[in-house]
Amino acid sequence: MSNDFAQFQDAFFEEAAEHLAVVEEGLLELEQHPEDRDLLNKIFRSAHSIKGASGMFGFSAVAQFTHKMETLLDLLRNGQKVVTPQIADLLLKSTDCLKTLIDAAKTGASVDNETVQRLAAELAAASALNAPPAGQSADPAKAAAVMSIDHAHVYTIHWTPPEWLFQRGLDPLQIFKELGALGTLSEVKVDDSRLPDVADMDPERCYLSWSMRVRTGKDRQVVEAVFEFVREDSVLTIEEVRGEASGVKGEGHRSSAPPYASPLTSEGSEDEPKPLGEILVESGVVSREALDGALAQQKRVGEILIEQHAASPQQVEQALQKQRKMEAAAQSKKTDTASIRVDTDKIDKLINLVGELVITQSMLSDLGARFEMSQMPVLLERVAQLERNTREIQERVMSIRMLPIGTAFARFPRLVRDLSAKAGKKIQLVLSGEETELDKTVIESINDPLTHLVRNSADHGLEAPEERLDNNKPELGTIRLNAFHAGGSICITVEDDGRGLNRNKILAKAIKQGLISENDKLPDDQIWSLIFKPGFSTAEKITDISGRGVGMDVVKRNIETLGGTVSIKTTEGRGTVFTLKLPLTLAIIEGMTIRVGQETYIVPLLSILESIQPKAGMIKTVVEKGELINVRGTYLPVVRMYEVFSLQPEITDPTQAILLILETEGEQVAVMVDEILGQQQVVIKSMEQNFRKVEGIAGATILGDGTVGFILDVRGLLQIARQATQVAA
Amino acid sequence: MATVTVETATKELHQQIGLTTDGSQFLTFNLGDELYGVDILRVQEIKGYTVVTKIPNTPSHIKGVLNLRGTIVPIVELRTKFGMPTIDYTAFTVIIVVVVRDKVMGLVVDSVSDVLNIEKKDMQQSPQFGASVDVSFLNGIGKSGDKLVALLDMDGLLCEGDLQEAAAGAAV
Repeated sequence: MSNDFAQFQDAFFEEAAEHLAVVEEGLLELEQHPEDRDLLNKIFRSAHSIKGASGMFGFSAVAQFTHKMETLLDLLRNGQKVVTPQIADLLLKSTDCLKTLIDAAKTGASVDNETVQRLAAELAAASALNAPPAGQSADPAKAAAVMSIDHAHVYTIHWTPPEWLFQRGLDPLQIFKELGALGTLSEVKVDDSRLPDVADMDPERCYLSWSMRVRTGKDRQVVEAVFEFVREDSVLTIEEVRGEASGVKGEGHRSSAPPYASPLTSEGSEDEPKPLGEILVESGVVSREALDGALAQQKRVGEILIEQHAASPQQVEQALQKQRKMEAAAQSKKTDTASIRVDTDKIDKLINLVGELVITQSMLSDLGARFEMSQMPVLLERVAQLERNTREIQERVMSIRMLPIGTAFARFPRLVRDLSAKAGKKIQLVLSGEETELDKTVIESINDPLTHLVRNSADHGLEAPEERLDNNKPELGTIRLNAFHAGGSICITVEDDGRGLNRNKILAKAIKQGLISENDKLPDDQIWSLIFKPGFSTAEKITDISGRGVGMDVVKRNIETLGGTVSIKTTEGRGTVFTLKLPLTLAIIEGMTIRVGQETYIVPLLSILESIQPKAGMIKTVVEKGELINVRGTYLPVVRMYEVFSLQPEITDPTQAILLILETEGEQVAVMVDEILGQQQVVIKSMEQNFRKVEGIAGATILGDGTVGFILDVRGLLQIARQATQVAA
Repeated sequence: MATVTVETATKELHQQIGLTTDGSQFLTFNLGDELYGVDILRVQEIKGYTVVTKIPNTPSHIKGVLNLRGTIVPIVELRTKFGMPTIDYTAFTVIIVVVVRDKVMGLVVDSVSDVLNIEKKDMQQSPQFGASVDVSFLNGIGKSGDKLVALLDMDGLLCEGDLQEAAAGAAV
């Protein structure tokens, strides 16, 4: 493929991924509503798009496989076949296979040809109208036979295309592809005898001619129709070869790949080498259980080195951190190149706004060219207009990056379906809040953590059906995914009604791993957070779904890199709720600018409940517990900002100052500042980029005068204040 | 063969105009009476001193942060970092903006002096003074003419302290 093609290919892969998602989603829904014709049409259209586009780009393996899926879908669509669970399952499996085929086409990786061919045969068998009722497992050999019966005619074709073939943008490859779609194309030979020396050659002229053999069930007219567009000036002979068609039954599906396709597909690739354990199990030397047991005992390299005193725990930890950083760097590179699809509507509005901005700008420069003091009101009005324009553009640009979280949820129905089949549990997935919008980068980064949590719930959280019935629970376990806005953040909860976390098991395991000592008295919260430690798993048996203790730490780390938090609520025997709290966007917040002494800070508007100037008597001091303020009957702790941040304040008397009542994670606190300056939108700038995280500060921003202002982190501020009082006490 | 001649010619030319060939170039600056040097490839720019925003609860040598064309850049007061007394800023006081491990930082120094070529042979290991003088942030001592230049190890100087704090901060 030439390089010019690469960009179109990228677009193809992107589209293919979208179509695949539609197909998969549709198939899952189809399982619930097998009669839905519209749904079938939708699936068919997407499959058809994949087939068309992949054929155009020369991914014939993809095109052929999709064609088989399409055949079956067409029969379902026309009502000639009925959607049974088996067919749905087959189609889902085929979708997976198609996904790997497309990935292979993208990366040039090898494909497990056996699976592809087995599925292709099953699809063909399911499509055959006279085949046994769907549901009985299809026999590949039979399927192949069914295919070859259809190939009743054999034609030999000689084709000398006109010399102007390339000048009119016609591609002979397309012809062969169409012939291939009719049946089996073989013995394609090219005659290049007319090809002149390179010096005399006109690259836009076609000097080649071909001969080939087609075995098909279609009539002669159909074959001729393929050449319709190139007929003019062509020398074409199509001859039917008699007596050969019936004798080739056993040829099967292997030869169905036309010869010209072989350089494009990766046929004959070697199987991936298998892990030792798998081979041992396959050859019957050890049982699956014994292998799993051995794997459970397997230690990580770091642990072994520590035990042998070859490295100190600190050194290993440092090395691990380094590894994580490298992983993270690799990850960030991966996500950076992604593209985004935007409604044209959104872009049109943006273009209109930019137009307005240009007009306002020219009006202003016009005014500035010959400005007199008398025109002051006009100037102010136009500046106000400019401000409106800017703000609106800002909002629109931000909304481009916002996507509904449903795009991230979409993959879970399939995941849960597969997990429930694998684990032998009955699980229903309930989704809600899919329309909640958040930043695209955030959506992409939460995919993996969410997947992990859902797997975890399915595997560890939910009990086996018998156990559930014994505990007077419905047999059907439920996993709930929910997303909603809360304050300035978005909350995503993964909830299951399973067995909950086992306090004693976690404690025992933590003591065994030396994370805590036996005498430690830990509050529940801290016990639950132990499961986020690297290498921590209480699962008795490692399954291939989860349980190796790798993951929960990754979940926590991923969420924290996004500036979010993970919390756990669990009741033994009733279930567990994981709550991910994430910032809505990573770029802009609405803030209140306040002043303490000489310094300007920004308080996120969403955390401010109200601001008051207290009267004498509202403030009470509690011995060694600091100050409290009585706000309409509720006592709230008072935090003096200048104390926490060691600033030089202008006002130390609370009755002269302003108290901001702030809320963070359900807690309320009154923060004392000198003055409120105003409200504005601020662009969050990273402090970590060149420096590091500073306690009590969520980030920095550039103020109107070009200096830097800090954005307050209410939670952090509260923590510093608490530590200070503890030290004082 | 032609390339060799060109290389030799370039080398001769460099020696004639005083460009070093096997050493490196250093930007030197003054702190009190002493001359320090930083590898010039680490220097992004030099700018006049402007007011910075103090960061609460940070060590005193972290002067604050500055808006450098939209990015937030921390400013280190080198005098305080080296335990020297602070002085009033003058018109010569500048901020040298350096890049250390992909991070941009500013160093407040009394004044910039010169760009010096220091050959490898004119560089030596930093001397050991025992525990009383910390030389961990020095790469070595360079000699240029009759001047002695303390060559700063940027990674050791700025990352050792500040990034460890960062790690500690993240752990809290």
